[in-house]
Amino acid sequence: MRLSIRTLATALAVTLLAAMLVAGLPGTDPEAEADLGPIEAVTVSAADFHPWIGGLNYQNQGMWLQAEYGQVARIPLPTNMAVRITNIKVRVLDDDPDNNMCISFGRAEPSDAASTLVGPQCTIGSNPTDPQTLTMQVFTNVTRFHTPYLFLVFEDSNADLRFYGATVFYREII
Amino acid sequence: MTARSPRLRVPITALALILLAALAVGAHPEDAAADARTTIHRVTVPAGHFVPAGPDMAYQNDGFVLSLNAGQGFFTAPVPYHYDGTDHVFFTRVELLGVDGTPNGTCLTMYRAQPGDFLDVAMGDACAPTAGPGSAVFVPSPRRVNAGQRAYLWLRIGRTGSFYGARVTYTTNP
Repeated sequence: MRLSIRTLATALAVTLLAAMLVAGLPGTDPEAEADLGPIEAVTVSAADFHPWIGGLNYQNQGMWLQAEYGQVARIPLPTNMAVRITNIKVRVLDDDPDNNMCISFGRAEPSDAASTLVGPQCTIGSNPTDPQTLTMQVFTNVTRFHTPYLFLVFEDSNADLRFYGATVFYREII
Repeated sequence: MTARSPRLRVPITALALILLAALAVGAHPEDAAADARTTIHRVTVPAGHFVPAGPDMAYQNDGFVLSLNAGQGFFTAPVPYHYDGTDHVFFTRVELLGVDGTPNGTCLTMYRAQPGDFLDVAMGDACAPTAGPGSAVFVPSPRRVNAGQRAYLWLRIGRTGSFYGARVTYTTNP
């Protein structure tokens, strides 16, 4: 069977239309952005943290952390891509309305002996026993020249507040 | 044999191309790629990664070996798995490297922290051999950790124990 150019072109057009209907028309995905990949996440647990200076009181159970003053942890982001941190969700149990905890996002730039800080975002201890989810907006880019970290500051020895971890949301910069 | 009508050529050819395209889509080449992407990773968590669970332990951490000067101690460390944006990490094997003359004196447990639920889940444990240094192995169960969770190690070490680290095997696909 010989096919004319017109027959083949018409068939190809019909095929292309069918394929577009199956795959979705280009440009109609509301989530699509030209320069950012899909939302990914990575979690930092209490076990990731260590005290920022010696001589401080703390209790690190791996699952949760109580502390006096500062604790710091590296965020285990992928190291093979540049990302934009979008927001961080922090899980805290706080039984004491008077003592609180604050969290900051840090982006260390060792080659410049510098660091950029976002925050702090603090707990509100007015509702005892309620679990709290702090959400901190960040919108900071992290490249392979940066080291992202979290810095916690606990008020006093704060035996009534337990930090359980934080989930960091990010998108690859394409 | 009767020749087909030229009027039928377009729909027949289009249908054939659509069928061919559907077969190609139905084959899901990404499935084959997913199988090919299953990679086995092995990471070592050295003694130097472990932080004491509290400030009052008499210990010495030389980076390659961790030991106590008195009593017993508790230490924790996150598992430094390489997170590459996949939805899950599957742990398949954990090997404790150490020795303790006292049976069950130095033991390692893996947990899956779930900050969103304010809990953790034990994944398995093993105790150091009494002669060595040597190794003890466990197969984690459950073995899956997702982006909202974090795997960490919990070490209990006795006065007669020496802990050198842990080797962890995981895949990024089941």
